[in-house]
Amino acid sequence: MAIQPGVGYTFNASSQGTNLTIERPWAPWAAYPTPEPEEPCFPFKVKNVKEVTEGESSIVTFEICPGTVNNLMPQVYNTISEEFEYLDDLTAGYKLVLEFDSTSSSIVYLRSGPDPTTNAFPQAAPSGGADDPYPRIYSTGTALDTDTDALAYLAIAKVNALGDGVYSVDQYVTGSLWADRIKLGTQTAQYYYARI
Amino acid sequence: MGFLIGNFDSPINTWAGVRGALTQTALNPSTFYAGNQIYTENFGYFKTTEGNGLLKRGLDPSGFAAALTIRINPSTSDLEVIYFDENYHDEVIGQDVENTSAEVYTIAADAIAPSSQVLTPGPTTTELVAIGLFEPIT
Repeated sequence: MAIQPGVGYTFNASSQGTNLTIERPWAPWAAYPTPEPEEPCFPFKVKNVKEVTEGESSIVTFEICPGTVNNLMPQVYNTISEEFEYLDDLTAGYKLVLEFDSTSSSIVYLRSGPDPTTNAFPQAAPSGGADDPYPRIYSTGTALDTDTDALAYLAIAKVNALGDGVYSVDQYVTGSLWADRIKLGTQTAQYYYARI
Repeated sequence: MGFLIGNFDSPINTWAGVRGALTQTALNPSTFYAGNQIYTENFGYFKTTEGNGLLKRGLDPSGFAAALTIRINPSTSDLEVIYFDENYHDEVIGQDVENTSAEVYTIAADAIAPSSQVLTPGPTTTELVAIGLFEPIT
């Protein structure tokens, strides 16, 4: 058997046997990148759903890839900073929590609405508050709300709890969106979405 | 939960085919394939006062998305509401239109195509300058 020298170690053969000399010791295992490949992203992809224990209870966290609605970057609630942050500018160490209130599934959805003053849809800048019409990502363990004149709801993905901490994702939206809000007279506004 | 627009193999599914502005002059073209239609100023186009200005198109007799039209027909002097999705009929009926002669008429059910509304007294001019629930695109 022939053993070849490599980077960081050498072999020396003599009549006494073969010596292995390690000139460059390995780094600790933790210093190497995780062997699990990163899931590829596309706009609004929901991924890395996992159960996390917090104290005596457990929560389900997820990640979502950045995508745009009418060229606007939606916001999502970061439970660490306790603020709504842009999908493409989340604070390092962020945590997005799925709502699994009463069912074994959770719908991740986009909520957006018109500027109450100009009717421009969606509202072009965040205004804060619970009813902010600027595009936001939420999740719900119940049925998706019905569209109103003020707010529109679009299911992006559904996360299913399969048991034993395993989750599957049914992805409904696979790209950035362009949306229209159509309204005539007293009729409730209708919302149209196209993938761009 | 809204409507997803997708396939490009059907004229009624393209972005421009699904919704458009209101016109009083352009009955043709009756199909819209391009997604970037521009509504020229001073060409008789109107937008809704609410929403983003556009409306879901109706279909012409051939099944193609058509131009939403409210006009006083220059040939017959009748008031016509053409290619409107039937969901909009109740909203449009009862709205006032005004022509360049400042004559005001209220849209009746008869105006909905294929019938037309006989205007009494007859209009002096046929160009509309105001339509209820709409405003001119300027």
